Amino acid sequence: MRFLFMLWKAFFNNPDHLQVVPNTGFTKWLTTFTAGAMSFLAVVALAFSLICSDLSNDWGESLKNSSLRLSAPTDLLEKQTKVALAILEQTSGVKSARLVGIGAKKKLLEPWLGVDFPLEAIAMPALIEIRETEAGVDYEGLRLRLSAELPSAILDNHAEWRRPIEVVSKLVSQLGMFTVILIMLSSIAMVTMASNAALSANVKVLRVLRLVGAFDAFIVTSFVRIFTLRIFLGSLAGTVCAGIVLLLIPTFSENLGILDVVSLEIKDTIYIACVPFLFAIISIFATRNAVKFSLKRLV
Amino acid sequence: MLEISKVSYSYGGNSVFSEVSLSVAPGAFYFLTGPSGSGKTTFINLCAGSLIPEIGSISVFGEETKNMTNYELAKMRRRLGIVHQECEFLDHLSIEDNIILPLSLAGLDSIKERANVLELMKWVGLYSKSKVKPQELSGGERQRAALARAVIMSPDIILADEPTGNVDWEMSQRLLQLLVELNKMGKTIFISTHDLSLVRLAKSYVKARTIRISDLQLSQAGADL
Ligand SMILES: Nc1ncnc2c1ncn2[C@@H]1O[C@H](COP(=O)(O)OP(=O)(O)OP(=O)(O)O)[C@@H](O)[C@H]1O
Ligand SMILES: [Mg+2]
Repeated sequence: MRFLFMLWKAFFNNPDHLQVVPNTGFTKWLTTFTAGAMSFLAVVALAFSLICSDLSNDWGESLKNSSLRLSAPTDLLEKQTKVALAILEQTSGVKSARLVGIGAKKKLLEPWLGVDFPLEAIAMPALIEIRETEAGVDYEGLRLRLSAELPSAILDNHAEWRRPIEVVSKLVSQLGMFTVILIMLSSIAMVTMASNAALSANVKVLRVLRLVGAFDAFIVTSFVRIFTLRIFLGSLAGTVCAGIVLLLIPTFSENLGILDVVSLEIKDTIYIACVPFLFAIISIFATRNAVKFSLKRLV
Repeated sequence: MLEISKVSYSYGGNSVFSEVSLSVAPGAFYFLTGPSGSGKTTFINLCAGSLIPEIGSISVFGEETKNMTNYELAKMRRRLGIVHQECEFLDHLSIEDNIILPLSLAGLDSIKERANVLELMKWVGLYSKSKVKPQELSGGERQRAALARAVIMSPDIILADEPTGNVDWEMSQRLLQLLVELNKMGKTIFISTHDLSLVRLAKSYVKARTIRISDLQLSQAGADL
């Protein structure tokens, strides 16, 4: 509560005082640029980490199921499907087995064949979706049984290649998070150093303000307001730049047909939009401490 | 109103003075004299609460600076008019804004006060420089501006460290005139100087007391010259 009050005071409760902190000089650009560059890096790292974590979730989800494909002349297909379903029912580790309908099939093939492709007109193999239990299916055993009883069936075991993808994408997204944390920590360091540098260029301002009877709280607020505004605007610029770059990536990858996967979800954009505010909060504390420290050492 | 009792001060072991005592009477006019390095600036900074005595005590308006919080020190400084030896200003503000700064901080920056500021600037001969930045002023002009800033809040005590250090004799007389006038209005004036002819001139206007730091260490109060 006290923090919110401080925040409000710092930005909105600006009485018609004179502007006591100079809003000029090289330190202004130093702090603004630092905030912008660090924000850019933070957003890019954050975005990649979020994309990877989304990817690993997506893949993990869609590859959870294995499938069984049966190709046979239309009249035989129905009979074979029944046999297959019966076999699956007896197999341990199979939670459920379901025949994929024509509508779902259409949707599945849409990216390759287009919306209007007359799927009904061609002889399609039957597709059975298998959901596994936690324990998993004994694929070797199932494969042996199928080769004996239903030689035309083709078993796609997604789990075989899902595992390494999951492991890799988890690793990449953890690496991304680690990078984000490193960038955030170095941002705190950079913002602190920048506000200290800007402050040491303004020791005279501190002395004069003390001399004419300014309260310490007023001095702190004045510096926090100016410095935080700089950092926030710099960070906002860096975030927007990074955002534009991220928006362009899906446009490039459109031809690859992986449009959906490499773009950010809405919750990701919210995380990214938080970056400038996070920088502003870092700046408030860094500047506050720097000013208080300088005031303490002032003769 | 300003009570210094048995104050000793040293910078990292180098003693400047020890056991200094002085009782400043309200409405009086004091000159603090002494050779360079004798501790005049140190003494003024102690009185202004910028330095806190290690030994002894200084009370301003009845309160010891040692016991004051930063907030209380700031409130105290609003009742003091302080002129430092090196007159520092906020370089990004005009001279007029610098002079009005104490009022602005106290929330008293009004049109009427602005008119008073211009009147004051006329008095110290800076009227034509009101929109100029501090770094474009000469040393003497800076001292006049600093004095104007010190008196803008109409303080009870004016503490000035070498207020005529950088100005010619004619301007010194004018500044003295201003200080004498303030003294006649009942303000206590406490200034350090090495200019003895200024002291002599002051004595033809008011009953000014001269104090030497070396004397303060021995006896209690400053003797009249
Ligand atoms: N910040 C400081 N650190 C260490 N020593 C200091 C400091 N300020 C002053 N001194 C020393 O204290 C002594 C008194 O200095 P002070 O400035 O009070 O003298 P002064 O009488 O004002 O001299 P001047 O007439 O030249 O202005 C000097 O010997 C000086 O070297
Ligand atoms: Mg001095």
